[in-house]
Amino acid sequence: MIKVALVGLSGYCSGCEVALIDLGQEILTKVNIVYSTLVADYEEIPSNIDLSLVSGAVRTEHDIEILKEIREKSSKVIALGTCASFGGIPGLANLYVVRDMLKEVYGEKVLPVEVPKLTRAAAPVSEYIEVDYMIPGCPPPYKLLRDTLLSIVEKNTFPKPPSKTVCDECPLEKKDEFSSKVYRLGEIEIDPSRCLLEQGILCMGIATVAGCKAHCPSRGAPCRGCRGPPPSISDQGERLLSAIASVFSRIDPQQLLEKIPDPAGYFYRFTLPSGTIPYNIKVLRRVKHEDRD
Amino acid sequence: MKIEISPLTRLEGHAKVVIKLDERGQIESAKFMVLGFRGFEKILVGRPIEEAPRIASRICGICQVAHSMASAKAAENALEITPPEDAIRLRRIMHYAGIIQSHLLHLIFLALPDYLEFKANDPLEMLLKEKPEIVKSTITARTFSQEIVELTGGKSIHPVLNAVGGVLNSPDNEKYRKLVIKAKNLVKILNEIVEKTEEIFYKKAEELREIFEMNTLYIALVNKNNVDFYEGELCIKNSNILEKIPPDKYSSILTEKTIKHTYIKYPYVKTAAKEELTRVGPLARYNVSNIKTENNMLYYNISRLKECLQLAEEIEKLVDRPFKEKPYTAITFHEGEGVGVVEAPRGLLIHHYRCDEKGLITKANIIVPTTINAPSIEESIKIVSARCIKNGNIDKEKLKYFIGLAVRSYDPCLSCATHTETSAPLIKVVDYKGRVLALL
Amino acid sequence: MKPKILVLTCTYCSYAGADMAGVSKIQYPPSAYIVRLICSGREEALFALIALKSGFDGVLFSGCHLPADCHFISGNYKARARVALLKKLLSQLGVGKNRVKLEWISASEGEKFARVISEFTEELEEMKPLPKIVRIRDLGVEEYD
Repeated sequence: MIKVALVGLSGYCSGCEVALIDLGQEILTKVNIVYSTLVADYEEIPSNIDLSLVSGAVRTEHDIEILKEIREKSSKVIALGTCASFGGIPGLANLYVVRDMLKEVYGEKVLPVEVPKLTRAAAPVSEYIEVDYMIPGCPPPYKLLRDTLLSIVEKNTFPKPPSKTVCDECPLEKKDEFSSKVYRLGEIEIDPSRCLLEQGILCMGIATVAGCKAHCPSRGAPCRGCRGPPPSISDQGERLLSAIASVFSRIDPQQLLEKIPDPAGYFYRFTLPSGTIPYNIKVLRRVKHEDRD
Repeated sequence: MKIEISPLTRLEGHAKVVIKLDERGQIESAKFMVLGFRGFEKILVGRPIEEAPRIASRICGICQVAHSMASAKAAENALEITPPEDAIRLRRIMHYAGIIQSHLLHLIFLALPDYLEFKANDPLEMLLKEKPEIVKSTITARTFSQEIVELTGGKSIHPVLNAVGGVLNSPDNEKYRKLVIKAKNLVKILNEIVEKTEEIFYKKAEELREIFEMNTLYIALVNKNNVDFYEGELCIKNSNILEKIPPDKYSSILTEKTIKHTYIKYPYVKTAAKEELTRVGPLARYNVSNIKTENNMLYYNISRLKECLQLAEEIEKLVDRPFKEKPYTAITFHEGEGVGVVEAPRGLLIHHYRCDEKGLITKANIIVPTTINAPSIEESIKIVSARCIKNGNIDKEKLKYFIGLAVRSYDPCLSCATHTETSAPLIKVVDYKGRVLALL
Repeated sequence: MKPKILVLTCTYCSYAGADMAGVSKIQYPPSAYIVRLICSGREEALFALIALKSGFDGVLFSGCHLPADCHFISGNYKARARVALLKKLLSQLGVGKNRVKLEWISASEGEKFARVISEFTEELEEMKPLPKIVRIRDLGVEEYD
């Protein structure tokens, strides 16, 4: 049985680890877990790990050390979940300056501490080490996670990521007639059998990679892009901005901005740290030794 | 001498415990250090309030349904919206199922190995070998609970159908039928689990009573004299006296106290007489509904077990009739402030939002049960360590075991607790001379 | 150092306008780096983001006048919507919404082209220079002092 380590970084919620436990006997009895702070009591990360599943975004310097240790000790490292693959929701903290947040809690007196220091911006795992494979999703959907892991564990094959978007998998009816207005979620009654974007409700499925069988739109909730960008796109937020703008291009821009008051929160919700501009520039103005020109 | 348990395993999140003993073998300091961080109270600022439930649920992957609930309630409170009855019914089902899966995860995978005294680094393997029926039943029960969350909430982890204004879609006929069957099966299997494990938890709790008893106040959510996980008033139990407070006045009782020799602000309950430690969670819910007060922290797990069955029976009652279509009310945005309080698996959970006239969040305050329990967790470490160190004789293995039992009985959810900008309330430095040794 | 402006133009209107400015020998600052695209609908937000990350101080989106001048009918509407959202995004990212501009310039408006570039250059000169945007791993950790 292959040796698997489960590692959770500081910027995680353990949802991906719960997703693994939800797989139950489909996976847990087929691997030998050699490290996990959730379900096991190992004190140290062992060597000769076959497969490491890392979840969570990098948030402290301790995380960086752990990543380097994991990379050295594992044959293959997989980024499990969107936080490890693209930054995830902890990445939204990149819109704010860490120093300001700390000052707000402690005032001017901040003493040296015995806890690991925070990085100035949250980042996906690939920022610090080489990653062999990604399984994005918040958390990765049950069937996809099971099939992917079984393929890796039993056949040593890493499945090719899907080449389409959520729109392609979505069963909702597309009439190709778009509403002349945009609405925020909850403002109007939604017809759950018809394309949400056509009804004027923002749905990020238009630029999100497939694989979840349009889980949320098919049940009546708009997609928010939790699986990350479509294949061969590195910046999901920009693609979503472009796509949504194109779909609603006939609407007066003022009205559009009124109904999309938070582009970063809608388009970059899960992928800000892997975007073209991965953080708020104010972070740089606080950094002392940076070349400002 | 320094005893370090790092990492403290079989908890949700990252933590370590560092205990310093002086030459006489007395506890010099006990630190419960938590090593995670995200900053949700800041992340929510600037976000549209109707998006808050889907963002806030990412605070934790185990109690995500509870966060989604509290968040939606806070937003509805701020926008002065009442969701329709069927939405509340769907929410209750989602919420209860979410609590059951969280409790089961903790009870069997995280806590049970201690009670069976497994001496192995891989308790999961031992559980599969020694108690395979319990593991199988737990996996099945958790599968049923997660499926119930998915049928009502859209997704088993991070329910997407729960929105501000109600629930975006209700189960159709086919899904409703599945729901009824799963609810019934869940009750059946939980009965089996309780039967097989009740005795194990009771025995240990009574055996170690003198080490694990600790007096505190208790808070739980109460609706018309019964504990209600979805809504109600805050009920504080102070040695057999119950005091009730409306949820949006939570700040009048949960004050953050600055301790003289540290910079940490602990949430404490202000009672008339003095500030005391307070606990939330299954034990608090038990104590608030009973005349007798149980102060043995190992009874947390027993209450947890009982709650699973109790909630499953509630779910069965709630699915007695189908749901109306589109159970939500339309929302309009205006300036507002709202508080949403629910009983999460680990205890009282409070979300408090303020939004501007465009419906964008301007301030968010989130108090999670593990933070409320944090001072008690630390006190527990101190008390339990002191009680098992006799005459300066320290059995490190035994100490680690007891500390593990103590901390895990609270089922701490450290990802929740570190939602704030720092891990502040959970890191404490206490020196017998009052000196600051370390802080955050 | 003159600010660098990436000027995105469309073949049928604004590029021709730029050409007109050149042919008429109207002076404008050498800060403009002109890129010709087929239509303003092809002017992506990604170009602006990459440009601002790579040392440009400002980005000018330009195209045919609304409502009916676009050779491809609706390309300019898309550009308009994109730039509106892009500006809000940039203000959230701390770059500021004044580093991106949208102007409709027809083939005969050589003078307007030159004027727009000159004004934009002046505005950018007033602003504090954008710090160099580095990779997250080079940002380091937050020091508590």
